[in-house]
Amino acid sequence: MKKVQAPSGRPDVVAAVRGGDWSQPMDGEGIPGDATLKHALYWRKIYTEILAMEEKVLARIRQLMDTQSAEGRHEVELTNVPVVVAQAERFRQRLGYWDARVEQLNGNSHHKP
Amino acid sequence: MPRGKSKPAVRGGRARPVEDLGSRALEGEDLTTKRWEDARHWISIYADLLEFKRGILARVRRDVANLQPPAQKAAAMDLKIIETQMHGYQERLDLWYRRIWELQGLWIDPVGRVVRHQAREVSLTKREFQLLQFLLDHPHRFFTTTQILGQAWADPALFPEEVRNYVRRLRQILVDLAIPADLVNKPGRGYSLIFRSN
Repeated sequence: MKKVQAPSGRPDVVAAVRGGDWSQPMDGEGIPGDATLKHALYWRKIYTEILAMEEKVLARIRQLMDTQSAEGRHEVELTNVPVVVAQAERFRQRLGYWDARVEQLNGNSHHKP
Repeated sequence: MPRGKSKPAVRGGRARPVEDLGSRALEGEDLTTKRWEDARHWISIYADLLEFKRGILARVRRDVANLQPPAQKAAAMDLKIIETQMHGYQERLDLWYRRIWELQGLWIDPVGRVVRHQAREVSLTKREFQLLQFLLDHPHRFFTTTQILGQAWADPALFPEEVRNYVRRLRQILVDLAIPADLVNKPGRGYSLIFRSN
């Protein structure tokens, strides 16, 4: 998957996009390869929920952008959108790891979110 | 003429050139402009951006509350980023308000409590002046009667009716001086001084 590029000159966005690094787990998450089925199911649920939230936020941003001036839309495109997209990509990738772990442990592929 | 030394209507009476104050500007933004229409344009853009961020922030806060604790912690980054950006937009909006008051020729004299706008001037009472100064210092933000009592006058013991009374008086002063701003009241949010865009 292509990494999100942060606009130069916007340290807030650069930091946020860097925070979207998908090698970065949440607190207490552990390594998928070492996880039990219960643990893997738990983290799959967590990532499913947070990814759904980010996608809803992104949809809301796009909806609200329609009401902005050209300058406002440009600013939102430059700041909000890459931040949320980076976060969503990170969560999607982490969800993929946990999906794979669940499948590996019990072949539960029919239960993909 | 004002009795004391007049100052541009700037925050806390500090006459620091607005172009020296650093928040990040958007493309095409120039605080040194001499055209008040430009200032009005950027006020409108930042006001819209702030409203946009408020909408997103409310949405994210609501959704984050429904997440599991580890996910809440991860999503807190979104909230922090939005709040930081809002703070930056508010700073730019404040600068543009200061600029538009400079360009409009609004002067205030804290010593004599005189306000002058385009060759008209009026003397204010202490509380009128404090309320006007407070609202000029915090443009485009809403304050409840309790906040005004505590922050503009530092006297929470006064009755809320006093705020309404002084708001009425300030509205009349805005009209008398032909200052293109409205002291608006929004239910649930309070009072705010908003520059009139037309």
